[in-house]
Amino acid sequence: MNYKLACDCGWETEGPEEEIVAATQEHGRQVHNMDVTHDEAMAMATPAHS
Amino acid sequence: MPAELIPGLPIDVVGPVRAEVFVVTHDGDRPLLTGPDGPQAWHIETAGAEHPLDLVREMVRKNMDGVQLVHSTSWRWDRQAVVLSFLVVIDPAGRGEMAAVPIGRSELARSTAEEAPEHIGNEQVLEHAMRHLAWLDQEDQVVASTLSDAWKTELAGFVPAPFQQLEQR
Repeated sequence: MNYKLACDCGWETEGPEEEIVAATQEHGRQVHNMDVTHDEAMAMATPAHS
Repeated sequence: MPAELIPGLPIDVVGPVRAEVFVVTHDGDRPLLTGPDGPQAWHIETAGAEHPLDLVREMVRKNMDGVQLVHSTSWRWDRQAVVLSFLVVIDPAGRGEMAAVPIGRSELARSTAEEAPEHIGNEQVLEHAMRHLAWLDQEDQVVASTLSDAWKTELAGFVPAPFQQLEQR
């Protein structure tokens, strides 16, 4: 199942759970100095309808 | 949660602090707002013990090249946190592929003699920051020697107005 996730800044990612979590964690560290947990990332994710 | 003083901060705070960064450049024709998040305020979480200026400088250098100036220009209370606003000037080549929009003008947010403005928009924070930069260009030799002629011409239109922030009640 694919998910979509959008950061407040406008950055977006889409893909399987592990991919979007990893991408979000990288984005959080690199751009916002934030440590995002797996659960926090998935709490922001919504199912992607393709 | 018990309040905990954060050592090293320029002001005494017992709650969360966030950094808000406006990355600007000048392409020779006009000033541009840009940034790793696109042309908007770039939000950075502070880690607590690290000085916000050091953190912002580190994050800016991690995300872009050509950094010329990093300067804190204002603060405000927003969404239950102290927000420190920073203006970062980069050279045009440092923008790379980052999206950008021309910087427009805006009315400053006005406080009363004793109270903060009810609402402060990002465009007003940026207007204040640009005026702050114009003031620094006149008063600070490091800034004056760093900014390009294009910037100096541009900033002539941003009149520093440090004593006009009060409105009559």
